Amino acid sequence: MIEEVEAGWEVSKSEVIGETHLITVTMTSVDPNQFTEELHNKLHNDLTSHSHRFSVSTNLFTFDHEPTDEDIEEAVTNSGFSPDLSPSPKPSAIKAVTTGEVDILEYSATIHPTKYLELFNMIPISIEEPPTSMSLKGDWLYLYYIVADFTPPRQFFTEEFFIYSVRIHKDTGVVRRKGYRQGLGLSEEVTSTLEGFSSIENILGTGFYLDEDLVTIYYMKSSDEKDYVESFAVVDTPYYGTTWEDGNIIRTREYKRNE
Amino acid sequence: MAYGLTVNNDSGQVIIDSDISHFHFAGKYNSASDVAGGTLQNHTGNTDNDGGNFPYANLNSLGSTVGHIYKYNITQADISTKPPMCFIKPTSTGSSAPFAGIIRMHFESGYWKVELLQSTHTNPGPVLYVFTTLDQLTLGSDSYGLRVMDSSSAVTFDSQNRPLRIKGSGDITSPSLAHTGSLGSSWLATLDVNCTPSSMTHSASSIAIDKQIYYVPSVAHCALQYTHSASDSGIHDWNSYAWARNDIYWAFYRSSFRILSTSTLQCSYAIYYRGHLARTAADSGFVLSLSALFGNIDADVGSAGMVPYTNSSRNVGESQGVIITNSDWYA
Repeated sequence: MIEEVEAGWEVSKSEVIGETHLITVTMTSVDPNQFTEELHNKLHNDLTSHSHRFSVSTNLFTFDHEPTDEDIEEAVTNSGFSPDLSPSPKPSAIKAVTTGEVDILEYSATIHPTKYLELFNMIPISIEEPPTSMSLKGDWLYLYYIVADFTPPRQFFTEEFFIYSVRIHKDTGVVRRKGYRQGLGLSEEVTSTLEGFSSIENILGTGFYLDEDLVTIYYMKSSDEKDYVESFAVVDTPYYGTTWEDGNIIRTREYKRNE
Repeated sequence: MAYGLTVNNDSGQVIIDSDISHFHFAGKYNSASDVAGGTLQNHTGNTDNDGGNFPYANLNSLGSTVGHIYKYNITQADISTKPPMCFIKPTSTGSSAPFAGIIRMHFESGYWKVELLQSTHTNPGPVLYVFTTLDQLTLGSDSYGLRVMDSSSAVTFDSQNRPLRIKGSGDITSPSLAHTGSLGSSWLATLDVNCTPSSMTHSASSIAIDKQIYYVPSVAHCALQYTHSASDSGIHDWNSYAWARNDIYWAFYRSSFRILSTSTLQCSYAIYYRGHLARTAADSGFVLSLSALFGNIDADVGSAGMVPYTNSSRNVGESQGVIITNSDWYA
């Protein structure tokens, strides 16, 4: 349930002592994010990061004359009051860094709605379920689905994964799918064919390409405590992802938050 | 009148009147004990929520500096009907000196208990020069001097008992508000006294500054109050969270005084009691209501009786009578 709070200020007490006007003002600030009940329910059902914050302060202002509303407005503004509560620090976009390529930013539907919508409107096919986040790399739009109960986006997947991504060509609408599992989801028979696999430690997850002969393994940057990754879906701590094609490494990317 | 004595000065002011019980010196008193002014501060409630950005700042801050209270036990024959008159000999003078004022007198356990509030702590505290009527004192045994009685033969003036000699007097008005400007920001209040002291010029400048002692009542001023509250809930890192926090800061002021120069007494305020209550709740359920926390805070402060009137101003513009005399006369 969202507690409905209206931003603004109001005089809660007023008194005149001699020529001094003592005005106590109650000031309410709210998070500028506004949610419909439907959207709010969806955010909760999907465990999508969001907040609805507000704060209330009372402060005393003194005047040497009977203040007008404009006088009080000026005083409360000068005291630092804003009806829009500074939003909680929100994580910046996830950035994929690949040597020799342009960095790619991933925009969340709730945290970066403007950029997200810009990309979403570029999708040339009808989308039944809006993705959690999106990015654009070259001519390909990437749609990422992070679902609380891991329910697959049925338009593209039937099998259950930890995370889902769909790559759609922005002109042709060609679709390529990838499902992610936590940990190493490959047999030793497969990993033994992967170039340099023996040097990889602290594996976080595996990306399975459903329409291509590719595989990606995600792993921590090192065994140092500072590089410990709690969840590779969140990307609070940078980590690597190496992709193989026919057993050969074709790229290694670093995933981190945009600074 | 058909009998008695009246002595006037050359301005026609009464100096001695046999029908008036004059005040006489009853002794010097150092404080018997001292204690910091009152503080009501606590935080209750949990703060650990799962991933939310709970505001931990200043949960135990106080937002102001409380004054120091010195307690004196005054010996007097009648402890029920005739309170003594207490002059303050301050610990220091000048623009850096603390402000002091007598805030309470009551009789208890055979003493007149006097409490003096000083804006900062000093050791020792101020000294009280106490005056009372002659019926509370032992009369002198000298065979010379002037002794005056009223119609019932009660002694009302005796030169041997060092009557109170008023050297300077006047009226002083306390500043209109102890703290001017914003009372705080976010989770921290700023309620310390910051007003410009008011001043009174008097005619006792012939008394050396370190010999002056003054009598002036301290009056209650107001409780300035600052509140801040916030709540948040949502989803962070796949976890639901919710928290609410509600803080109330307040300070209760009494007027107090200092000797600025040989001819000037100043009036400002000292904090008698202060408080900061923080109430928090945090968990992963969306069940918190900020309004519920408001209720808890109000009940706590109200039940302690600590906020008689808030964000207001009392006893300003009212002249407070000042009397100044010379401590050397009562050494």
